[in-house]
Amino acid sequence: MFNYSHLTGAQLADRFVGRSCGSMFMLALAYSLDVVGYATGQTGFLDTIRVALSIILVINLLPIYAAYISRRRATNCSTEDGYIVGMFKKAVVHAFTLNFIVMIFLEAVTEIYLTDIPTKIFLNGLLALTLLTLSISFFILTRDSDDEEDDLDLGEDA
Amino acid sequence: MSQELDNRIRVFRAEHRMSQSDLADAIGVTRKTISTIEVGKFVPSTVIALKIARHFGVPVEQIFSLPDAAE
Repeated sequence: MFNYSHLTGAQLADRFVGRSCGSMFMLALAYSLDVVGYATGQTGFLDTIRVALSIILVINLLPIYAAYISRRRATNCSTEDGYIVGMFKKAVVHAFTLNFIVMIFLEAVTEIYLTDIPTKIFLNGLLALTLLTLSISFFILTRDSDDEEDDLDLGEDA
Repeated sequence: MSQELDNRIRVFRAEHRMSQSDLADAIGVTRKTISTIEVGKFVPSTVIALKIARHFGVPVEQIFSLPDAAE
């Protein structure tokens, strides 16, 4: 499961980015639980779920992160130009844009409403929204990127 | 094909009897990157475009071109 030696540098980078987005999704859920806990008044059960999510996140990301970093140091390969990384950058732009719009909206709304909600809840909610947008955008952008299998029957090429 | 950039990678691959995976390995990207460039879904960086051109031993304009304005 944690052996990545059969992957090329570019494949490893793509897989690392995919895993990172999966981890961001889990992190978004963890932040959401904080907001849900505040809204419902329950904390004990939600805290347990949050700890479990954090452990899964570390197990999911740490091995491939270590492999990716050591491969980069060993081969000095540049892997920032690929399709997956490009889609990740697009997803970051989507997430940042939405985050910014929501912040401006909240800045206006909190002048009148929601004045007694703690800052921590606002921040966790915003973080959850940003990470959720990023990860979902990434999965949508890369959803049908695996095109038809390669072929060399190219009689009709122009 | 993309509205932004036409390419003839498939033609050059056929001439050199290369699969997408062969080309991807040769220039240090994934097969997905090559396939999405070929179908015009992804516009490659200058570095990737130059690597592909260098691999086939031709100027980059022979592989990548802007679509004609009339099209």
